[in-house]
Amino acid sequence: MNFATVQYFVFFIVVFLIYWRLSRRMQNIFLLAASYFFYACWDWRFLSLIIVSTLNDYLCGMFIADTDSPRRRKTLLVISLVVNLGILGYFKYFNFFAGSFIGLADALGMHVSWTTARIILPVGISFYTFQSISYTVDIYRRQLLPTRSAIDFAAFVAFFPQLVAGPIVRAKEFVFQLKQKRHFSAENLQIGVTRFLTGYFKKAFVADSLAVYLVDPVFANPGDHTTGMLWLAMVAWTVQIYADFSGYSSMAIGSARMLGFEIPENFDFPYLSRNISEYWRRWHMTMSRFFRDYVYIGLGGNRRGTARSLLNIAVTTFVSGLWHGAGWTFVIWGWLHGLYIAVFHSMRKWRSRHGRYDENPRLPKIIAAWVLTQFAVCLALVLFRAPDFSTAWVYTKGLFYSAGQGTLEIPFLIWIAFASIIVDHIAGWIMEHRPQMKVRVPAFSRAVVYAAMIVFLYHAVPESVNPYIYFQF
Amino acid sequence: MENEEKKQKGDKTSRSPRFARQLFRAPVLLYMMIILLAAEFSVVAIAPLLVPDCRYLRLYLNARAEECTRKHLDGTDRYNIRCDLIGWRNRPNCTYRKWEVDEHGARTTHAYTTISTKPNRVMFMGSSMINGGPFVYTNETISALIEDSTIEAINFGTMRYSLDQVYLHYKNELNAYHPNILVVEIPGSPDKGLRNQYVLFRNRYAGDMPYLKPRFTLESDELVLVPVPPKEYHDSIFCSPELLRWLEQTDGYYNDFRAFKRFGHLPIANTLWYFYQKARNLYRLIMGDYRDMPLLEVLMARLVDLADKQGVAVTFIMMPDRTITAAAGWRKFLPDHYKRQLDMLESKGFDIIDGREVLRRSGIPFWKLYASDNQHYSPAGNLLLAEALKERLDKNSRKSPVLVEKN
Repeated sequence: MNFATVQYFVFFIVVFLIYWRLSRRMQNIFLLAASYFFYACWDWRFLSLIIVSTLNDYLCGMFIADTDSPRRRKTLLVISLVVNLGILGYFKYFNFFAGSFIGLADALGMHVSWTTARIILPVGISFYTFQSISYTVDIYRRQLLPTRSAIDFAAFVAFFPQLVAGPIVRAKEFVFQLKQKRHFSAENLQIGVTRFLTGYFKKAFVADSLAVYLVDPVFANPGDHTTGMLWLAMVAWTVQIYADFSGYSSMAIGSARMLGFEIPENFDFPYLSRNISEYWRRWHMTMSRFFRDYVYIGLGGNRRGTARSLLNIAVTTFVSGLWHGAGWTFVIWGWLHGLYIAVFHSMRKWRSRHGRYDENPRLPKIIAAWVLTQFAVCLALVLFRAPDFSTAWVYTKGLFYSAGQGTLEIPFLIWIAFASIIVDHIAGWIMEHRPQMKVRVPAFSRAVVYAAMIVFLYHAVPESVNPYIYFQF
Repeated sequence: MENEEKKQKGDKTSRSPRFARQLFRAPVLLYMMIILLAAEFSVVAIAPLLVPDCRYLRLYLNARAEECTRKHLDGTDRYNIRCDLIGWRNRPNCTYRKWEVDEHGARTTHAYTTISTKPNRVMFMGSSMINGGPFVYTNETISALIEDSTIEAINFGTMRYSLDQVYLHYKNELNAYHPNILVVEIPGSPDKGLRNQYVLFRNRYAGDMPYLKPRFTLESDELVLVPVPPKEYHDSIFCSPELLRWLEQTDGYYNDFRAFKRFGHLPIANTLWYFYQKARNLYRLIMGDYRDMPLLEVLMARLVDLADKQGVAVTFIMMPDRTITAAAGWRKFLPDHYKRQLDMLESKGFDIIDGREVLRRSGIPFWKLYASDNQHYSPAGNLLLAEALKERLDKNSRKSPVLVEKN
């Protein structure tokens, strides 16, 4: 069930109406049932994976907390990780590693006979597995007490607004909310509806229009298009992936809010970033902090010298790339970002050491840094979108010289889509840098804007809804 | 007891202001609802009084319809050309992928003149179902599949033709080809399109065929022709109040456009209209809607009479789409209107081949018998119908020797 469909609207309205008539305990049971139903609408068979993952971490978490023996605690943590990563590894990476192994063996002149299995990737597996892992690891690190209610824990893992594409919520941010009595509030409803609407606008209008009219046709045959078209489509793709994923996150946050829950933000106007490190603090924030806290810091972070720090960055970005997709293009995309980060930090260190680090740069420098950062991000995203390296190479080459003569007729709607993301980021910049300019917009004016948005969406949204890009992860 | 009642009343009275207060804590939502309702009211009740119909027509038609209308009017459409008599016809000498039409406007495997070179000439008429459309090669059409040493087939099937157009086409032109036998397709819902003049009023999403067609009305059992609207109306299709006034009088589907003017623009009204239409269609599916059957029967009878005068036998072939042949889900439980309409027509003495029965009897999975659109027939489906048709023609020739026997 896709958020941007009539089925989801109907489902959510039914859940909303029943949910607010129940007691706290019944609310949690009902949420769990609704979440399992929501997931079963994709494929009921994979519900078993969520249940296995949930039971595993529920029991491991409880046993870890109940014992003081470090060895036993470690063993239990390892069991939890093996089960979670085993499921993830089999369903998401088996064919990738098997295929890569065969490819490598062939390249070395050895003949290996190994058939890859027909494995369906369960939707959202990367997200709920990470949530489960964070729960056990936090208990192991004594940062969290386990929840004794299996229903509450299962409801946390399977909470439908963020089940299939995040934000990746940590147990310590969410489980306590399940334990509290929740009261219906019109303010929450208002925030939820407006967040959902904004997210729907980004996903169903901006992302889907850019995909249909510009990105898909150009990326399908990059060699046939002019350099100008390739640049435009690259920028459009950068905007599309942001609108798609931040739109989804916004709808998830809005849905959760209407049910009385607060889940963390996932994006903070990433295209305002002036360096790559800042970009990763603003882009897919819940995933970035997961990799930072559980992989990078787990490996020792930057506390063990420059060489080790670089190695840790390489490992973290490798895992991050692989998390996004079981393909080498994703891995290289991750490493490319790792390289960006390493270069950025090394340069900053060098400049600090030589007294050249400018803490308050002037406008031309700021603009140059912004342009360079965005160009680096866009360029790396070509790898993320291209189905293989040869397409990515043709595309990247074409950005500097393309023999193709193909151009597309760009509908006016596309410019509205671009403009709306620019306005979105300008508003973000004002909120961040000029808080005194933040005028309190009257409720009536906001209502006019949202009503106009509904009418506009009703007419402008493409007829078919594309699946969310991040569902595949 | 009294105290309890008072308590309950007290609860109720204290609840309503609490709810109202709650609502006022969400002023954006409240204003948004008020604004949307006000907008809906203006669009449903006021706008149609102020906005010219032509504006609505432009909104009703999508960009594809607009583009295709221009092509149709310019004469640059790939498959069809405009015709003042029948509305449109196949573009002669048109070959595009699987689609092949000869210089006469027919889809045939061989060259021919008005005189047949074989003992029997079978002429096929109907819509793209009989023509095969872009889904099959010419040698996979029903007409090609019945050909042998004694039978020559000519296929004049034309996209989206209804029986009124078939009748006019045969009466005015195609009898000149002197067939022995006329095979006429009637769709699974046989009266489909008979009340229609502007294709897009019947099917808004058929944007690639935004054409105008003639139709007949029935007045005291007599057919009265409503011709294609005059060319000057047609030329200015997007800003022609005359055309809309004409269609208001003649097109049985004009009400759908009228409803669009009020309910087609904003979400609440449109959702309500959508559910109303669904309920209405369901009611018709359950109760049966046979309003246009008399018109269909008279048209079929006139066609048979006309052909009979020229010594031509007419066989009808009913070609349902996959939803009728292989009704799935809840549709299985609906009354079988297809059968009922077939029985009604057979009881009037028409010679009809039941396409559904032919397909069902074969035992071949339905997905193999239909093309990807689940409406047109695949080569396998066409072959089954061709065999059934041949069998029927043989049988008929034994009764009355229209078909010349093989040596």
